[in-house]
Amino acid sequence: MSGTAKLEMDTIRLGNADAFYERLIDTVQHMPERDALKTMVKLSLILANQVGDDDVLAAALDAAVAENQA
Amino acid sequence: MGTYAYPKYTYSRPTELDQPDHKQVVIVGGGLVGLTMALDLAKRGIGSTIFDDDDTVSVGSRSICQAKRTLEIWDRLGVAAPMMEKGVTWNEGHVFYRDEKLYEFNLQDNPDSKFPAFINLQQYYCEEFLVDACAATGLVDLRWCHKVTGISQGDTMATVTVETPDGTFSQTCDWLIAADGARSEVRRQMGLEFDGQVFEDHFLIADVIMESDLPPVRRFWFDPVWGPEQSALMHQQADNVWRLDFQLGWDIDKAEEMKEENVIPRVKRMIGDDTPFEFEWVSIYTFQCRTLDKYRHGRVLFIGDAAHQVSPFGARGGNGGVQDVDNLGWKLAAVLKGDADEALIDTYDAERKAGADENILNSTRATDFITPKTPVSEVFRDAVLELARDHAFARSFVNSGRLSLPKHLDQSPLNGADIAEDGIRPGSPVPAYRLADAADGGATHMIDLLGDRFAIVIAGGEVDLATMSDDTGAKILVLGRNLPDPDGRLQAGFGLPDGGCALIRPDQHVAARWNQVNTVQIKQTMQNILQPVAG
Repeated sequence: MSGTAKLEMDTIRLGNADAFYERLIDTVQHMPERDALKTMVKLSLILANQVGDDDVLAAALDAAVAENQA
Repeated sequence: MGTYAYPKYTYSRPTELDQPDHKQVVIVGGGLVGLTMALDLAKRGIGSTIFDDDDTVSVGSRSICQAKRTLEIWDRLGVAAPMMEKGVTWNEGHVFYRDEKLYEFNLQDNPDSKFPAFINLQQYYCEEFLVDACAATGLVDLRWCHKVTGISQGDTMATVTVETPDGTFSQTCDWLIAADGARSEVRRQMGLEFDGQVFEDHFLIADVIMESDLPPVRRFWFDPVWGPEQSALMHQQADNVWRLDFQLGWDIDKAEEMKEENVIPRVKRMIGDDTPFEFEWVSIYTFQCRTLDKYRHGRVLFIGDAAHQVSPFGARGGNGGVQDVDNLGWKLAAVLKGDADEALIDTYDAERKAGADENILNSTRATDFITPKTPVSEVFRDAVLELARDHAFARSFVNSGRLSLPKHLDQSPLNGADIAEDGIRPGSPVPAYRLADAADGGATHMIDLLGDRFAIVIAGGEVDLATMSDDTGAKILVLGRNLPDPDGRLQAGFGLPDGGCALIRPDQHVAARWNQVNTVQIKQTMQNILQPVAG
């Protein structure tokens, strides 16, 4: 399933990006790798449910994969 | 000591050894699906001959979860009652992760249903009831100890070579139905290959006899703390037989795992040391999710496991096979009676291949969730299971098997006109609506009235029932007249405006809906169904 939704990748939507990034790192940096991965999976699933739009989620996944390959 | 006495059916010396004859329909395989096929044809007045290489029913409980749609089909064939009486009814599933129960779910999606989401009934009982029902029709010629060993075909008939204890004969037929299971000899003889996936995992089935007051629900464990198994499943069957299913992994010594001294500790870890039990049947299985490219090969038609195979998670094997029969029976009967063009048989291929693809997709997804193939996918699965403990949204990701549901034939070439987004769209099976009042013949549910031929459901109006029935050859059901609908629930369910109508196929799927009754239009649609454009 490929997404066709247009993602707002060039607009900053977070109020405090630095704070969120810091919290993200603080959360996982002392965890064993498996626990860190599991936490990120849970975060992805919670956010996916919050977004609730299959097309947006598919487009976001496509974008993440594409960024990895860039 | 087993709970079931296997019947021994009588072999008779075939008259074909002395005097060859020609048959309309030959079915290879007298199992769950082959017997249902013969019964469906018989109910439509078509005789058939079943060749089975054995002289009894399936050995071992095998397919046990008989789904609601299967029960509805067996009900139409008049054989659901003994199944319901003997089977264990269940609607609920409980999911466990390590040492705790995560959540419960209920599979009964329609409180109006005539049947529960499932009954658990051993395959041997189902087959025994089907044999009895076939025999009662007088139209099914059941041949035990008749082994098909060869096949050839021309444009208008197929020929099989049949070995019996008294010798070998050739049998010609108009249509040959291969219902000879996962190891189909017909498929092998024709050199047809499956396409799909073979999973590298072993599972141990231990059917045990035990007294238990556990409620009859499906129990599924991910990583149970009481054992080294990666997953396990528990189901109650008839006669106090319990199906215990343990995932063993790929690198095992099968003979060693089958030894009683190794199976007993597994069972005790699951049910506890204090519950006495006896073994009924023990088996180790692997599984595949794969299908033939097409199910019609000239005059040979493949149904059930001979056509497609899935993992047992979801109970889509036997139930999918019975849906094959539901789809093929009316089409083959119409062709044999001269009411339909042979091209109608091709739509069996199109419709049921789509059904098998859906089953394989669901089955493969369930297998991938239950048995993660990489460390990363295992982390994903564990993350889902941990979230599911407290959060309903995550339970939608948990996949211990998406259990068998009727196929919606959305892309069917037989679907006709439609009028609305609401209600039962063309290609969908008619739900088992409960009638507000008992109707003709004591019918309590919509499906009782539909029967096994075309039906037209009309939302009120001044239709002359007899004239319209004569004109179309269909059963005419008018809401509020011969189809009670005091609260308008059926009309809303069908999505019909006042005066609108729906055409129902002989397998109880909606074919088309219109805003008004136009007999010419309806007859043209029926004609399009019976004489579809080939290819």
